[in-house]
Amino acid sequence: MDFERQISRRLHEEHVATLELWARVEQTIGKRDAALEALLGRCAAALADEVARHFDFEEHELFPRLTDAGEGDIAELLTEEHDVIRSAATQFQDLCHGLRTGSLDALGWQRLRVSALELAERLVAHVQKEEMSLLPALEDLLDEETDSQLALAYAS
Amino acid sequence: MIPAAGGFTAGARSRLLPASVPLRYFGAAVLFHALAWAVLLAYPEELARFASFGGLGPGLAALHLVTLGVLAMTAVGATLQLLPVATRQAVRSVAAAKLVWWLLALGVALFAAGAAAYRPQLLGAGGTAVVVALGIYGWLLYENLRHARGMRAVVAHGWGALAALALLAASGLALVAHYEHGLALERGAFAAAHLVLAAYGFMGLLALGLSQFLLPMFAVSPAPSAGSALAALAAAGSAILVSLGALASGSRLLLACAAGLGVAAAAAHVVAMERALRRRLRPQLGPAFVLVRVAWACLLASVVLATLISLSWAPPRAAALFGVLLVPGWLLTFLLAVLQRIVPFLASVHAGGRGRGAPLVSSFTPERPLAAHRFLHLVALALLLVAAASGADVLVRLAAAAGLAGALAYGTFFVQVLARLKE
Repeated sequence: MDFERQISRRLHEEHVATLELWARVEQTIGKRDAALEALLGRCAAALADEVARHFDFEEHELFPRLTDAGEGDIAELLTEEHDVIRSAATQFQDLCHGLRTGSLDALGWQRLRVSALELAERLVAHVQKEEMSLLPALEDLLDEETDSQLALAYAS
Repeated sequence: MIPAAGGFTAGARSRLLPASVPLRYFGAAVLFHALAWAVLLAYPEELARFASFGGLGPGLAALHLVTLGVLAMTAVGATLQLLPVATRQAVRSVAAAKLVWWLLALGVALFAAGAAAYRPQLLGAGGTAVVVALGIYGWLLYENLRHARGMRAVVAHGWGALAALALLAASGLALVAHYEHGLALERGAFAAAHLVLAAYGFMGLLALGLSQFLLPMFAVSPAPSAGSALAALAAAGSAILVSLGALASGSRLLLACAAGLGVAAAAAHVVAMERALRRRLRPQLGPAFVLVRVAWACLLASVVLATLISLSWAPPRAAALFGVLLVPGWLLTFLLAVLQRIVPFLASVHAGGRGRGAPLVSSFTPERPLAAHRFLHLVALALLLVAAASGADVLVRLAAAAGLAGALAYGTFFVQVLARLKE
């Protein structure tokens, strides 16, 4: 399905980027080297920046509209998942910080691997849910003018 | 758009059945699965006999333990849970969903016992219970499809399956009346029509329809276009209708046309699904897709063999080979592949929802019993195909032993998920 709304397309592009990034983590997590450490650093940065921004925008601008339209279940479930992912992301970012500063021992590295794999699974499942439920709902819900306003707000 | 697990949960918590409802269907299917292999293990000579002559006996019992006990049981349980959410409909009646299970489970047990023990009265009672169960289920399905929103291709397949179910029940009752009361009918033609309606109609169309969103969801890929899905459905529906006309008229040429349409439908479906899967966003598909692809190969082989049979070009013992390709090869293998993804997902959804997010699906996916099942099921299938082609009963026995061991491994997987859910 091709999305017609600008905001749906933008969120979809970010979902694809997230899936690609974390798929690389899942594929390479077995072997610790400089490339993997750099990749984990990029993941931590993405969680702090793009993902956090993506979640905040959805919670402040999109979920209230869904609730008003009678799709509060979607908003409630996705918000719950945001909270769980934020919590897992905080732990992951702390471990990545240790990696960056050289204070991560073997046990810490093991915890980082587990944390990364958990986040990968949670993010993939969350993206699936948003692609299936949130974006189609937005296609139905938003008119052209609102869509333009939201896209502008998200870009700024 | 990527069909997703969230399609079942997001916007759908109020549409979820209690966990015990779908899981009781899947649990019964796991049990009947093991029983079917056990019956074949005890009576290996029945494969060739039943394929050649039909009639009552352990062969009929084993076949219906699979078709009604595993395939229909799972299809009913899965669609009762998945369709209301996918089509954005409320669950019509939890009590009706539970009643269907009781009638279906009891009916399958009575039917299989009656068939195996050559007791038509028992068979009749079981068949009646099954038809009543499927009648109630048909009403639930009708109500859902009538009000469905979205998922055009899935809904269209649902209507096709429902129509096939009505004809399937009628032909099944006629066959039971033939055995129990001596109703005069062309048994061969009725049995063949019953088989087409059950395997390619009701079960086949449900499998094709649910594949449109389940498989892309599992693979994180875009869904096939609605156009390609509807084209495959049109070809499949035409194949079924033409085959019924051919069986009624006794025309082998018409039967060959129907089988040819079936080849086109199966090929169109598999090509569309593979194209969608190639565009997946995650590299790994997961081991269940090994079974899915084996099932697709068996589906294609079954309709090609049906074409050869209808043209009288088939090898000896083709009827047994066709039955193995169609039932354990296509339908059972596909269903077991899908079920091993649905059960952990549903368990994860039901374990969550307490304000702390759903647990990871992987925590509900015990890999070892699934790997053991995968290996044993494929060994059983390969042996059964060779056995059907060669007529060697000893190979049927070996296949049934492997199948039974695989079914027990699958049961272990199911029990482990239930135990984890109760923690």
